[in-house]
Amino acid sequence: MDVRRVFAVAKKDILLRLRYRGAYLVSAFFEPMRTGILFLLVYAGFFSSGAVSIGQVTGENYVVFLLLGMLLAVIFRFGFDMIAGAFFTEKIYQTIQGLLISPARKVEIILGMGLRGLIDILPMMVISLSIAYVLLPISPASFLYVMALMGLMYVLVLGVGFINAAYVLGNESISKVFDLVAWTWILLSCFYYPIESTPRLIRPFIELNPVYQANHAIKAAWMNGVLDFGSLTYVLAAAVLSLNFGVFIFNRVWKTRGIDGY
Amino acid sequence: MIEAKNLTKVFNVRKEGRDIFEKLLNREKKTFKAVDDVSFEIYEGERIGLLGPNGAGKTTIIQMLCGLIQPTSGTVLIRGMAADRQQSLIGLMMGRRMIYHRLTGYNNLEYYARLYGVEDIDGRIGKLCNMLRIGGWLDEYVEYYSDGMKYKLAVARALVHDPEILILDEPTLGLDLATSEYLRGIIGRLRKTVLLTTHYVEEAKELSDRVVILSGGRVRRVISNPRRADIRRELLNGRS
Repeated sequence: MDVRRVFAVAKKDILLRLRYRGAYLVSAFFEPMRTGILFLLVYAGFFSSGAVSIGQVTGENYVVFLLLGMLLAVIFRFGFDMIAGAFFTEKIYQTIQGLLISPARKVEIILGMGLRGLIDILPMMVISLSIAYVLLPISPASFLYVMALMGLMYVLVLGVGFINAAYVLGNESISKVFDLVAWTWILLSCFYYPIESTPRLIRPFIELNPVYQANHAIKAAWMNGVLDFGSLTYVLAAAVLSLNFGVFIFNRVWKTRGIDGY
Repeated sequence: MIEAKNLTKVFNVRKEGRDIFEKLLNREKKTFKAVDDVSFEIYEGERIGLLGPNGAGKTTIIQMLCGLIQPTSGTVLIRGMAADRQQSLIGLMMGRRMIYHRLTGYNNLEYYARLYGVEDIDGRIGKLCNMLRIGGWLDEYVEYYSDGMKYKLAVARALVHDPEILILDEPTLGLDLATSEYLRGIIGRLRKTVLLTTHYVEEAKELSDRVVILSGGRVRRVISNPRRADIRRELLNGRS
């Protein structure tokens, strides 16, 4: 892997977004907080009315629970949508061909775009983690564990998002199905609510979901100081698999469908 | 250097209705053969012009050579290997495509130079800018460029990694006489294997050692050391 290509892809995308700096700043700072703030209001009302807990969430820790959930939800959405969104724009602008016939490997493209997304997420990440740390400090080891899990979860979602990107180029009807996939996946990831609040019927699916495993392990590490290396291994395996699977499917779709619809 | 064998490309196209319900309900499909059993070879250092009326299959052939689309049947070999494994040997210019209008000229060239692993990026960009006379606009957004400037930048982009093969799809389409002649002069001086498509007989004569005349997706005739009158006659015959 050539790191220079990864940086080249990231830099190009950042420069493109900086064409309209105002829009960039609004999307980087405010958009990620939209959903989280709604849940914050609901939980605040819930606990101020006398409720004690829902699963692991209590009146004392719900802000940290939500801050971490909000951050993970943003990482998920960026990872899932970003490459497809960028590829759609480049398809319409007719610039995508330049990237796809260059010697850049698909993994370099994924990581380059992922790096750009990381820079978008950074303000939100710094703010959320700083507030969470002030409210509930954690050890350096736990912090590193949390960061590793967040990074792996991001790569895992980027891999699946790359499959979506292939269909954005080759068949937008199939690509729209991925919106449904993302919605279902978010539902089964329990970013804003504990697993105990979900119907028992769907809990086995939630437990199998590596994004939920990452989410659960991150919250357990931050709120209870428990480092679960089983979950870390599970998420690591899923991330490696997703990245390779994403590249494999992309190449197949690209070869059979190419670019359609411009 | 480039060997295209029995290239055929068939596109599946859905028959579209004229109103909303027709569009929603129509499932009928048809196929469209854009390229039909085309074979040719391009030798090292040779310049080939692909000519033909609109819809003759020129751009489709170029896209297959570059690996942008896969042939339905047939093969493309570059130095004996599959084309999609030799893409770094190719510099492709397809009009103004592949140029980011929301980046500056410099950022466009720098981006592609990094993708292709160019070592002395500023040196290479400087050399191309001198050659194509675009240095004065390099730090402006491409959206402010004239069409001629955009075409020059597109040529610079295709050359940024100093490729052995240069593929140009209508490199002077719609440009004024002076800019067209300037670009032709530059392309003519490059010591590279060149494949270009064009509608301009003069351009084909000036820039090609051989001209391949296409019609209806098939090779109609190959002319070595082409003269203006020969090309013109073949093109007009192909139309009738």
